[in-house]
Amino acid sequence: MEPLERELLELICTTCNLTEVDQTTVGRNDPLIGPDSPLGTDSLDALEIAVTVQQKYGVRMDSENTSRTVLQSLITLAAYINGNRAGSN
Amino acid sequence: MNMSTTPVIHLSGSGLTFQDIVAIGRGAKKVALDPDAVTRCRASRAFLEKAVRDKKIIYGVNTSCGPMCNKIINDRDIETLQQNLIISHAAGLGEPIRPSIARAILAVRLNTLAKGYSGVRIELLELMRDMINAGIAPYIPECGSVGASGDLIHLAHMSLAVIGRGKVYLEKELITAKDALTQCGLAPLTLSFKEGLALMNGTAAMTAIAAFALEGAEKLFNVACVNAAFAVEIFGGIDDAFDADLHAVKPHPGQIRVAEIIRQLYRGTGNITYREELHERIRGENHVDTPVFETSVNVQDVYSLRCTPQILAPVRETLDYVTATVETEANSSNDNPIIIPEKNKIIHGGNFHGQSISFAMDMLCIAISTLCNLSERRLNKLLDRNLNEGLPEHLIPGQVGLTMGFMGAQYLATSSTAENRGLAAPMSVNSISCNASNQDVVSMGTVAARKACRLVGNAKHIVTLEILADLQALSFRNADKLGRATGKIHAILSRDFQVYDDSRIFHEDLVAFRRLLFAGPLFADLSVYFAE
Repeated sequence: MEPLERELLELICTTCNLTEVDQTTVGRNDPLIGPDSPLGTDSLDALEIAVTVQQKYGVRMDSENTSRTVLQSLITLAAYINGNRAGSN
Repeated sequence: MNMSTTPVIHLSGSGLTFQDIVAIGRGAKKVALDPDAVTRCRASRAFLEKAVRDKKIIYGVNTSCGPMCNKIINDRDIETLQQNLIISHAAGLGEPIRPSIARAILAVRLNTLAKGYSGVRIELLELMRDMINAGIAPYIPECGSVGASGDLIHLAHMSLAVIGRGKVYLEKELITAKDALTQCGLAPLTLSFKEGLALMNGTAAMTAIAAFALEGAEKLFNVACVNAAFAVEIFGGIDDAFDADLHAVKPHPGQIRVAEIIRQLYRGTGNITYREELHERIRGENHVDTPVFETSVNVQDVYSLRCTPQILAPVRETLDYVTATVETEANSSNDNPIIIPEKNKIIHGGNFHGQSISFAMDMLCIAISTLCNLSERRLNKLLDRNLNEGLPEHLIPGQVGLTMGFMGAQYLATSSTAENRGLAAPMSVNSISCNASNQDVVSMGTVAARKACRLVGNAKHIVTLEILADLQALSFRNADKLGRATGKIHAILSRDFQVYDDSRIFHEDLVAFRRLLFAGPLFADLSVYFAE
């Protein structure tokens, strides 16, 4: 797992108060949201993650569709942040 | 945006939503050309090329334009005509349109051309697609178009970028179009017959601007519903006003929907006064046998609380109407002439006329101005100690008189509400004959859309201040008994909220919260808060 991906996992667990999740069991390709996610997160968690990521990394997450695409996994979320950290004009 | 995580919209001249338009403009979605649309466009172009070979007289192809349409152009000069049209009509002035909106304008134009009835070459469509995906945004001054032969001036500026003239934004820098195209591995296009006119002669600018106004308005509606629910809970409002049976007997669709949203927001609350409890509470206050006694319980709330479903009903319905109009326009062929090979027709008409968008934007202004009226009154009720039912005056948490609380900030809402009432005056009736009286009735749709954007921006100021006031009021009472959805929203907002105690410049709180509410996903869809 890349450092940013690890950082994001930590951030997600803190944001969503996932105290019982063993972070070492979460893979970088695992779904971040929904019933198949090892995090056990729902759509409200997705919203909170999107808001937190937007504020911490300065990337826009305002489209629900985009957010869902981006929140597929730690890999897609990290790629999105790396590709957009400077922000689009 | 990183391509690997960026959704792609296949443009075909149908199915493009206003949310798509905004997302493309912001770089959150990329575009591709739908294969069937490409086939249609090839057929349309082939039909037009044959007509030109057959020496048919076609407006804007081998005739001049506007009141000079009876001047026939030699075949050898028909490409020069296209370039001259663009360069001469790139005559706007004013502040540049935001790059995200300018890119959306390019996308809407591409979608309308991809519908397949405009007779342009695939090379043109591919260049526009590549410009959008590369993040190029044409430099377009905001003033100039009358919105009748389309957004001629705005789209001429957009078209300059396609032919490698003028300036564009790339990575937030304003550079020459030629340099930007080179940097992106693209080359400017020499336009063929019809293509300059097909680019310029349409409603893409007003439609893209309208999509952004509408996106803001939809979020405003959601925040307004949340503010209404917070207000009901802060003041212990009576649930009767939102009862489904009340609205069933006056069944405006928007009214039923607004009432339902607010009920869902406060469901599970301990802050609402229920009708069945009201009688006992009031009777319990009368300890002396007098002809009349005054109760401290409001038998009915003021209209800004009680009539929320009725007031927001036409607002909701207007947003639905505006959505339908914007999306119909964005997925239409709106240049002139229109080429329909399957009907063996080249039809001259006026699909470029923007009256529908102009009307819709005027209605949006009235709707959002009404939403602001409601918000401003609720805010005043929170701040005025004669109305706020026991809250500190101006929601001051400290020493009243020494600290000011929300007293100064209220002027923002008052003045913005007044400004919006002025902006709600209609633009679509302001036709002025021009173009040597050829365009004798024009829509002013581009102006109407710009005005709607400004009004929506002001409205965001007002509801941002109101939600800060709600949170401040909830810091004094009732936060522990909020409904399920209002409780979730309160919990999320509270992470960024600090009680205003005069220790910070108020503006900074407003900026942070305006961004939180409107530049993020929090209020894009309230249903996420309604889940069990």
